[in-house]
Amino acid sequence: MDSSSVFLSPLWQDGITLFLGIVVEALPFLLLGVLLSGLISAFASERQLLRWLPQQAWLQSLAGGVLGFFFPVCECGNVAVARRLILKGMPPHVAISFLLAAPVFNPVVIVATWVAFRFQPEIVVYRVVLSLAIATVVGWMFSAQQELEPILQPSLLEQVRRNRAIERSESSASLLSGGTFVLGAKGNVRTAESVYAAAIAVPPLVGGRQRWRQLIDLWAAELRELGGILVLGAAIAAVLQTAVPRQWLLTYGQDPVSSIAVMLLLGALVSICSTVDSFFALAFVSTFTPGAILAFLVFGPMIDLKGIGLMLTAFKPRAIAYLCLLIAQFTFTAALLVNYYGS
Amino acid sequence: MQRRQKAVVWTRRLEAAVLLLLGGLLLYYRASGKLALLIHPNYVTLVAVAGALLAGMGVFLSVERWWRSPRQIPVESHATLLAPNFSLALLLLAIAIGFFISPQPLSSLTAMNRGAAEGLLSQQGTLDPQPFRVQFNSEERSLTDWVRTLNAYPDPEAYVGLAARVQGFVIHPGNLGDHELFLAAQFEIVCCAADARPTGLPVRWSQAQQLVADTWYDIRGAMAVEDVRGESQLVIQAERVNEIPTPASPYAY
Repeated sequence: MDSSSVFLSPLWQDGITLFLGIVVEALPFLLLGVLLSGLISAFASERQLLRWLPQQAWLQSLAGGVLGFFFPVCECGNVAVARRLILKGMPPHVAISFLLAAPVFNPVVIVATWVAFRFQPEIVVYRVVLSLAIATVVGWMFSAQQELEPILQPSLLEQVRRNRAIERSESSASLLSGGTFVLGAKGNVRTAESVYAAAIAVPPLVGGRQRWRQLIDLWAAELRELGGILVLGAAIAAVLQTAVPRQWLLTYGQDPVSSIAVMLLLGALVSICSTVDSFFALAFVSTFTPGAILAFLVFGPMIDLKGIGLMLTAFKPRAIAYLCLLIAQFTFTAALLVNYYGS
Repeated sequence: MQRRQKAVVWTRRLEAAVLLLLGGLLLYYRASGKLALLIHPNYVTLVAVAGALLAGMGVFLSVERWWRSPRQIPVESHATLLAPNFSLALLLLAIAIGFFISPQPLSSLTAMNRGAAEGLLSQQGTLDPQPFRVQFNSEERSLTDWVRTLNAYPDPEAYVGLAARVQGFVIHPGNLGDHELFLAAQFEIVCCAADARPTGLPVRWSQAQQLVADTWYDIRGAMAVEDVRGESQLVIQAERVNEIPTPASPYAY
């Protein structure tokens, strides 16, 4: 086949139709996710939520996962939320559960997955339940680590310690009558630094009109960033569907084990936003096993290149490596069970 | 430093223009009917609303960022995986493709990529388990209706002699073992073109080899049962095959 006939092939045109189909279908959901996550970051108070945290570690992890339902943000938004939650006193294992569950366990993503997979409703149920279960179990496992040092990045750890010191000094000060100012024991002295840290721990809220202006700027930046990744993801899906020989896709896609491994890798590499990844996955339904599709839909939102980059702003590389290994193992096992017994 | 500030200002201006163009593209697709080639009709309104919101946001930001003093434009503070200008370039590329390359219905090559070559088409399709419609006049059944009926009541002998009139595009899979047979096909979609699956039936027509792949035909004939590749298969015995224009809405739902 010479080069001109390659470009004249109807497959080129089909690739463009597939690409545009994914982009056009995904854009409304991307927009909805971005609008809601912006509104939440501008108006919601995470501190209120901390009051509802249960005592047992596994219940705390479950609560962290369920919290995602009230924060319909994608991977990119929820790392910032998780950082804020840790700073405001949430134990890191709860924040990890939130971080892992939030991209899937939220109304926008559940609706988008349903729209894409309403002909296979079991995929929607498996995706939501499995994501919450993995997030809870992994968070609970991290609760065994009492020391924060091996988990959190030094800069975040420093801020957490400052905030804790401030809270301790505030609680001891509250025992005193109003208006008195007494220095407590050695560890509880309020220094100028701690006062400053308290001031920056909660960002100052700007006025109404200014806040809306900031919100629109945030929406535009998120749409630009996530839209760019959506375009890349849609292009990869279109190329894989048209340029890669069907025989190759069937060889790897129909095998119950290799299909899962390929889709785990694809999920980690493509970094497509969880609000729209179902539409990407649709392109592989006819060639890959249901377990592999599920693995992509569960693993991709938790661990991908973009997410790892953002997680590094809060967690140490070693903790992230453990997270990746644990989640990959759980997802692989669950996907294998679905391939053998699930359909 | 001043140069960097200038670059940020232009990035933010471009960002506003890209949102406006993106919204414009969705609205253009809605107005021109091209959405029918890309997505299920259930989501057309959703896409149009998203287009209007994106365009509205784009207009607001364009006015703010192109006419406001650059000093008032906020400087980038958002953590990103892709460089802002790279993201904008990708979006602009997608918008250019959307405006300048008109989407076409998926071709027979994609149909074969999605399994039409391996099995007979009646075993494909019907992604969506909708109930088939009961029609007393067999000529009113579309290709998809026939396949749904056949999936519900798979005995091909039950349909022998029924009149058929269907419309579909031609596939020459090359493995039917008979040069008078071709496949009349249609794509079924549930969500968007990404999940399109071929559905259809073999057709016996003496001049099958002269029919052009991907071209749409109106086929009239009667149902028969033939042994195709060792299997008893429902086949349309064509009496008339006329070329028709590609329908504006070529997919089945």
